[in-house]
Amino acid sequence: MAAASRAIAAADYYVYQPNSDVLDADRSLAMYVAAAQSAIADGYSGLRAVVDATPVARSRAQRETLAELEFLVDQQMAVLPFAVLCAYDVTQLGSAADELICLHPFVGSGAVDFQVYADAEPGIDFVIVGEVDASNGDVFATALRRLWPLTTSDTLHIDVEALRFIGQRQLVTLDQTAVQHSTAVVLHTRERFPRRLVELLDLTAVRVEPTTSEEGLR
Amino acid sequence: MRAGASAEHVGHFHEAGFYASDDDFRALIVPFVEEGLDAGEPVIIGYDDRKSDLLRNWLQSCAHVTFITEADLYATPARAIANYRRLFQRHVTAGAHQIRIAGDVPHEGNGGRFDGWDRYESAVNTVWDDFPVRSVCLYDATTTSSEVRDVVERTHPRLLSATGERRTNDRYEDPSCFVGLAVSIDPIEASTPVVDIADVTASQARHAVRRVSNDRLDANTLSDLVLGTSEVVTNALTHGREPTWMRIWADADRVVVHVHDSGPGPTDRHVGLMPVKRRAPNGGLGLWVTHQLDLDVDLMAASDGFTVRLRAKKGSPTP
Repeated sequence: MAAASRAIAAADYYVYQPNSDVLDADRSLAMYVAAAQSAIADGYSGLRAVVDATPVARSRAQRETLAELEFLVDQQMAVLPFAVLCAYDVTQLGSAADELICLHPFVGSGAVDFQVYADAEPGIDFVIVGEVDASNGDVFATALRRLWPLTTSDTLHIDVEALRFIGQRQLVTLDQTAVQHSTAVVLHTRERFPRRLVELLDLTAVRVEPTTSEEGLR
Repeated sequence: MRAGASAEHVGHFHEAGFYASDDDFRALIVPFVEEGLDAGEPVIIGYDDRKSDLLRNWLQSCAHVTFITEADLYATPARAIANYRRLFQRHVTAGAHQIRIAGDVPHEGNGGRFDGWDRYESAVNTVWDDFPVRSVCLYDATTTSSEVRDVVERTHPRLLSATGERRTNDRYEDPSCFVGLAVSIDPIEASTPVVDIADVTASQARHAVRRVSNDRLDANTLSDLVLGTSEVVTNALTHGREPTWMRIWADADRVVVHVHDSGPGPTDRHVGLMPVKRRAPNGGLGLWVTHQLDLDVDLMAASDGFTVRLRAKKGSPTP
């Protein structure tokens, strides 16, 4: 079937909480999933969406639920032929945009130093890539705080094979977040430095296991 | 109840002695070990193979003596402190009333390098005070330099004569006031640095270290140098004063990094040698992590600011 496209108002792209400019993540996601399934039923190979998310990212309350939606969409993109390109106007949002841009598996070059996102790999809850240090430690902590409640496992498996660096304070933040949620964390990587840091810091919730060769070939 | 001269002491009972022959060494070490064994106290020996073999021959039984010959025990001062603390904790948990240790701090006279061990000899007067430890540091007077001997005499509250007589050391300096040896200049520092970055960020520093070190260091040493550099730059930006800079010198298999800020540096003379609480408001964990790595770490305070020097060599031992 030939490709088809449709433009809708940004306001109609999301479902909002009653009498609020804060979106409803679960209902927004349900709308996207229904649209993707409808497109497939109509004979399309999938659904692609492009959205300027700036209007729903201005306030802290908006970013809380938008972050939730970003993660939930990542999870659905892993199982449905569904892709979204989100745009953020950094001239309007400033550094607050980093809180949301870092939640995308693919970003513009140099947009952020690290990314955290859900992944299709079986047995992996999410992926962290890039470099995390004191300069983006607050953004990292915010991302963990927002994403953690969306996970359901007692033991979170995080693929950090492409994490080039994490500072000791940020690794402690990861450990403390896990402890707060009574969760264990397994970091999957062949890199040496995460294991070195975990051992030195005597972390209680985080351990490191080597990435299997199959995971490493992804 | 602690046996011997430390019976009434709380914390670390730290003493030193000098010997000039194997017979002198025997006269000092054997009574120390046997008194502990008779009292059922754990005894930990950290000597090289030759001295450990001598001691085994001199003792009637060494079944309850732990000989640690791994080179890593004294790989770095901070690692020695941490390794011993783990051993102390294990013995205290098992019910020990006192733990006896004796070992060789590296210095040029026994084939090692004394760089950094002056801070160790001073720091252990306080950093092990939460354990009932009795240690005796025995130095070979025939191979110990006057510089090292001076440090030994300023860092041990008690001294033993060659015949084992104990006296209070009036040259002892409280660890909070101890002034260590000047850090030796590395000859490579006389050359032009291959990297010189003002107002450096941790990200820039990691990138520069990777670029310079990729062909010079093995993967493990490079990983440690990237981690250590990032932590000390973060410290400089968090706790130091502007301006800051980083310089890197390198030859075929060695990389030397200086990270400088214009502040006075930490007031704690033992910073980096002991872990601090993970959420400590004034930091310190980063420097401790750095001291645990396979790097030579030197802290250099001067009138123009504070510099941390990290030196890495290809093939450094890994734990």
